[in-house]
Amino acid sequence: MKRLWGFFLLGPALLWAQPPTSLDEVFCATCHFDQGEEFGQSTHYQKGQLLCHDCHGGLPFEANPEKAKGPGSGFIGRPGREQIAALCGKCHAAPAHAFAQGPHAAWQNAANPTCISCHTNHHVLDASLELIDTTCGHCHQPGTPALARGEAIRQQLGEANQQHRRLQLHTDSLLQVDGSLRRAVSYLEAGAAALREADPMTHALDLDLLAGKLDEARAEQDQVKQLLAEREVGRQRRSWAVGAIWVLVAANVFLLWRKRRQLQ
Amino acid sequence: MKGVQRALWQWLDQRLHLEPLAEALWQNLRKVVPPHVNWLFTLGATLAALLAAQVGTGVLLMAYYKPSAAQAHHSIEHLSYEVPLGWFIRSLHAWGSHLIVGLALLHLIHVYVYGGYKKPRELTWVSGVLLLALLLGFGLSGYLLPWDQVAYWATVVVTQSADSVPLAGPWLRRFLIGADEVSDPTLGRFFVVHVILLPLGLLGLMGLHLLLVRWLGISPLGRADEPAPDSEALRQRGGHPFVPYHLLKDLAAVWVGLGVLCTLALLWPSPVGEPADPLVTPLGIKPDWYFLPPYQLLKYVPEAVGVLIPPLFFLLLLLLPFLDRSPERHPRGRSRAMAAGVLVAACLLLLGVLGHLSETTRTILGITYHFDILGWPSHAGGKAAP
Repeated sequence: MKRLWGFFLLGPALLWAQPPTSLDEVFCATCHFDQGEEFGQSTHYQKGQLLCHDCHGGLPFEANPEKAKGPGSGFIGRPGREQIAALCGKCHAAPAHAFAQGPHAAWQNAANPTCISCHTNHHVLDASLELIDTTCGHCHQPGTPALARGEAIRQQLGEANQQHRRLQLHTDSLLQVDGSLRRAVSYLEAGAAALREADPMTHALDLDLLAGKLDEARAEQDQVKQLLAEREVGRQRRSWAVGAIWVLVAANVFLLWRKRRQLQ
Repeated sequence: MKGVQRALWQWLDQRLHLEPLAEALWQNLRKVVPPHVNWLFTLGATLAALLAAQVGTGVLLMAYYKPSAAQAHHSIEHLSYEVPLGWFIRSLHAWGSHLIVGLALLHLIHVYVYGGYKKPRELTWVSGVLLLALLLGFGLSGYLLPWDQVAYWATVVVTQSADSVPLAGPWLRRFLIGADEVSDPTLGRFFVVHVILLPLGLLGLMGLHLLLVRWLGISPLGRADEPAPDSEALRQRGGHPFVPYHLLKDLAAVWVGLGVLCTLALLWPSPVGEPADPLVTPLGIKPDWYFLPPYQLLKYVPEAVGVLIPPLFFLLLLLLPFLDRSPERHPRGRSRAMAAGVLVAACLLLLGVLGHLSETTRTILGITYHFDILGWPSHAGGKAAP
């Protein structure tokens, strides 16, 4: 029964992991060559997750443009501001939810950014905290509270991520010689889960909201740190114990040797 | 205090007539040991002390260990992480098993080199070889008990070889593991063998071995067909009575042996591995170091032949005193026996090293090699950074 469940769970994952469809087969790129080239380098295409019609509608494998964009093809063309967050949110639900709670949420305000303002539309790369450095400054001047908030988010989440990586490396290296640290793995997994949840929260641009999740991650990291510290203390104590044991052994061997000399 | 002791002794002697027995025992313990008896002759006493420690730690482990596939690994985790000093007791037991097998092999080599197996000590040798077989049995049965991935799959590898024994192979394997695959019944069997059957055998054989050692005394270096020198002659040649002279030496060696055991257990505690998973085979699974030579041998020869070689080797060891009938004991007068011994030891060592290296990638002198399943190295490319 377990194997059957495994098949059902693994099956979609295997389909998801298929190599991307060749863009030569996608007729959209014949006319929209530049967009096709940019999209070809994007993480969406490289990981085989999306094609043109996922955002623009239409029939990407239809050679006839009239039919590809015709009635019944679902063609929407360039998505409007009101559609972008909803489209991205189909897959990226957590960031879209956080974005809707943040100061940039009102799409009617043309001054507000949408998803593609920071992540771009066709050449979408894996998101990272560095985007805060490179994109917030497009609209916000240095020294403004908005930019300071972005920097604070970047710093706090970045530090928590870095601490997690450091602890993960340290634990992994010690695990090979000390199985007792396997307890740390569950704390690290819980910490990683909290950080994964904290990541999309950056879109809400709410330091208090983020701090709650980061505190969860830090609490798990503290448990790992405590285990590592206990291990170090234990190691030192054991070294002292070895010294004491050899003093005892040496004293007894000396006494036995002296007794033997006396008898001789 | 001495008055109380004397009164107690008199009380016992009046009822059990122990005086003649005590006198015979005292005379035996006062026997003079030959002058060539050096520190190597303390290996037996150190082994006995380590075995006693093994019994003590084993009893403590049994208080927490649960011998079922569902609970064994959890009980080891509980013992190692939650029971005060549980990790230390477990590490003493694990390291003790390695030290005991190592010292037993050294003891065997030592007796072989000094010709201690020759007449009239043939039975002492036979009981010693049987004791070594029991110790290896302890190692095999105890290895599975933590029920972790390495233990589980190493046991699968070792017990699978029983399948290749001609005629009775499949029956023998099923008899050993109690099921079609290594599983709960296997753990139950190995546990009973480890904590009941083997200790009983060990107790009997060790008693016999010690009795024979004390009865026949320590082997002299002279020829076996010459009468053994008596205590007076040995005393004149520089020998000393066993008690107290050699006993003090034995006690010093015991202290050092226990010190080494504690050091190993404290500095390199036994890790708790991943729980056994019959559906996931880890890479590079190998048995304990003392089973590496037969494990590696099975890779070079047909299995049906390979599985018969270790029992035949043990049979040869058992029969050694009856096959080597030369009366010469001194190693200098037994060049052929010495050459044969060195050859066998070198073969075992080579097989062990090849087994250890096989299926690994190692960097030696800045060059990375991959050792295949047979242990042959091939250049794995990549030079280590200077």
